[in-house]
Amino acid sequence: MAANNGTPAAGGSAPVPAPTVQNIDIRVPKNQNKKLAIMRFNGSMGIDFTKWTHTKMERENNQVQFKGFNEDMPKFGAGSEYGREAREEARRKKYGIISKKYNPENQPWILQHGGKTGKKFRGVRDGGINENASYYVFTQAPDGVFEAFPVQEQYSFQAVQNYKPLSIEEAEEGYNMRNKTYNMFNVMMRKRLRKADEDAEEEGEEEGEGKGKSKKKKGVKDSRFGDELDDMMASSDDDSSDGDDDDDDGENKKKKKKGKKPVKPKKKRKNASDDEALEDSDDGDGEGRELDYISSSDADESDVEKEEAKDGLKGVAEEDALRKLLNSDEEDEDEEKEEEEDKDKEEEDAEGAEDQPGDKPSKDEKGDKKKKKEKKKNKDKKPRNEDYGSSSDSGADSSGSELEKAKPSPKMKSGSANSSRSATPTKPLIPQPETTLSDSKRKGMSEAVLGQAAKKPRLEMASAALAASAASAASSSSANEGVNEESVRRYLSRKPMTTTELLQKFKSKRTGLTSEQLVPHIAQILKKINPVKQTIKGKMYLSIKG
Amino acid sequence: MDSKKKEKEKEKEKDVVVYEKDIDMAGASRGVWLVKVPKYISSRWDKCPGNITAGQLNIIKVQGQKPQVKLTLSEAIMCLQEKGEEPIPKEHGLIVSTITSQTLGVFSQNTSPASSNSPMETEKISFEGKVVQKLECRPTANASYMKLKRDCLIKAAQPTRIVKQLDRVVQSYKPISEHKHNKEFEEKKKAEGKKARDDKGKVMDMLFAAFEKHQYYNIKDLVKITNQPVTYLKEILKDVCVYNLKNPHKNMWELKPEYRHYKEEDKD
Repeated sequence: MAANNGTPAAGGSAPVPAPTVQNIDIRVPKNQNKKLAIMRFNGSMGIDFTKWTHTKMERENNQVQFKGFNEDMPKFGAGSEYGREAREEARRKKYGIISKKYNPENQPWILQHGGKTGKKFRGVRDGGINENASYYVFTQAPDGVFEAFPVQEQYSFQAVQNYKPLSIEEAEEGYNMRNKTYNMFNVMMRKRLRKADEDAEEEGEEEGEGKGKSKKKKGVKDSRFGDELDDMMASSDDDSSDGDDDDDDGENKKKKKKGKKPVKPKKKRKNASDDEALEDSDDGDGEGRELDYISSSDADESDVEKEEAKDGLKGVAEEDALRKLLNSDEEDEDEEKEEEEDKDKEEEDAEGAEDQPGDKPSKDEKGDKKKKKEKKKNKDKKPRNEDYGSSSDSGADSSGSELEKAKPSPKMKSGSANSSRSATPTKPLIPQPETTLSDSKRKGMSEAVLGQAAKKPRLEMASAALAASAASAASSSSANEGVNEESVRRYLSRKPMTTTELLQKFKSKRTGLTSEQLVPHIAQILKKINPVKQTIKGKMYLSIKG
Repeated sequence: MDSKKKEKEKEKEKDVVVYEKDIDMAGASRGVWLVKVPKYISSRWDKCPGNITAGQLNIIKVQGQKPQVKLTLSEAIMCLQEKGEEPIPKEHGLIVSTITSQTLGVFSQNTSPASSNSPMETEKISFEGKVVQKLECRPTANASYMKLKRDCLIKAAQPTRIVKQLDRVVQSYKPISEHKHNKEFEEKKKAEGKKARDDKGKVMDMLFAAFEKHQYYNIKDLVKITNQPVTYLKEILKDVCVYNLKNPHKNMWELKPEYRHYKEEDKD
């Protein structure tokens, strides 16, 4: 019933132009099979429906996610059980799990236009549009009448990204690559600069250096890359030294961190139980350097650099050596934790005591006594190079005192408080500088304690000592308290074990020895002990009958 | 029993709807209006037959001004008044607004029932048009409309559950000695009588047919399927089947390997 009659308005105000009235009929057609829905897009997406081609829309298939448990079993044929689903359902119902049936009509829409490579949208239903009011869509029928269709649902469509985002691992990898990439630029830039300035020979040299440096730096700090770039801009001669300085800064920062809590890691090391991991050796490393950091002598910077170039493991050995020395007179009652804690204090105390130059002579005496004691105990120990030790000792003390002043006072306090209890707080430490210098490991430690002054002479010795250390591994490792006759005896007297088991025991401890060094050493000890040998199931078990 | 099953399966198939992925984009360029109307109008429009005029749009255009749109409900709609219902206003103003921050499209799902050329129901999606204008129905606030709203509010405020005082005990639970479904079952059992032993060959055929569909069966299910006495069935089962004592498929019967001929691809 189309009625487009333009009727004049009844209102009679003359000057206003006559309004035209258009009347359009509305019909509400009934079609049960037709359901209308609105698709809502954000205006900024720039949707133009007329440009859509090859448009496809379907419900998202969430059947896989919806699947309950145990549905991978075949429904029929081989391997299937009759009535399994019903039974499972009943079983679940018993536990109060009422599974919802999957309804494809309730799934979101997936809309795609422009073929396979086109845009993709996902439409999620907006709830509650028909709650308080109703929406009708008015369309014009061919005969001019408006047809009103009720809107059932509204879906808001969002664009689906058609690329795969990186997973956490991949992103991490990429992030790590960032350093490499930067470094690459770094190196290339340098190369270019150098090409302009210098000849090819120097180029090769410096490049290698640069690489090594940047590698180090990577670990230290990322944010310094900006600085580095600046460095590169500067002349290449300055460049290398600058880089070194940077490095030191980083190192120092590290040390600073550790320096804040110097006592704690030590304690941990002392209380080390049998299963302590080798990893902790890092702590020891840091401690060795910590003292370096505190000394503020700039002249030694280059030495520090060289020292760092040396093996990281050395630090552990140093610590062990230190420990050994400290413990040597109390080794017998070594088991008790209390004692160990005391030792901690003693150590600190000793460090404090070292400062006082007045003590020195008496210390030396004590040290000598101490040494004798040790010799008795560990027969396999080498004789010490006393001359060298004493000389370095004297040299060290001055700088050492500097060090100690920089340290926080509480340490001193604790030491003095403790001194009344244990009569030998100063004893254990004094021998260190004197006795230990024969092999490189000792030296490392002593250097750590003595500070910078000792370094130069030490370094000269270092190369020779390093070579010697391998040969004297067996003897030197006796210093490593963990691997000695006594401990081997202890293990063997507990229960019979094979040599490999025995090795394992020591490996798990922090001995500071590589396995190549450990094996001959243990063999030597075993020879000495000469344990009872039994062969059980083709394996030789060693034991000692207490 | 088997025939019943088949019927069920057929019914299931009927439920399956074929969804056509492709959208019919014929109406892409068409502009449509989206009109928001109060519930009382929509409820009447729902009731009215589709072929009559449900209302009229009066568009009054005055030069230099925005066109005014009015919705006038037809007499037929006005007469669709049920008892106790308030009369609804006949005229509503429509506020026209354009959609700015959104793009609204209208699509329809047309489900065509199973016909001769397609045995299954098909659902087709077609694009109906783009919403170009949004109209909101606003009744003129006169006395009758206010009364309607007031009544609506009062009605809505009325609680659906009312406290009622009882003067005597209401016995809501009465134990039943024999439930209805128990009785039915008994009757059915009586009518069927005792399960008769069938010919062994016949039973075996039934068993093989069953084992073709599934590999593992519970004894109870087999009894149901073959309708044989348990003891007799077990005798036969011992000949052709093995009894699983261990998990998975504990306490279930399965054909002896020499009788099996399952397709391997089923397993994968």
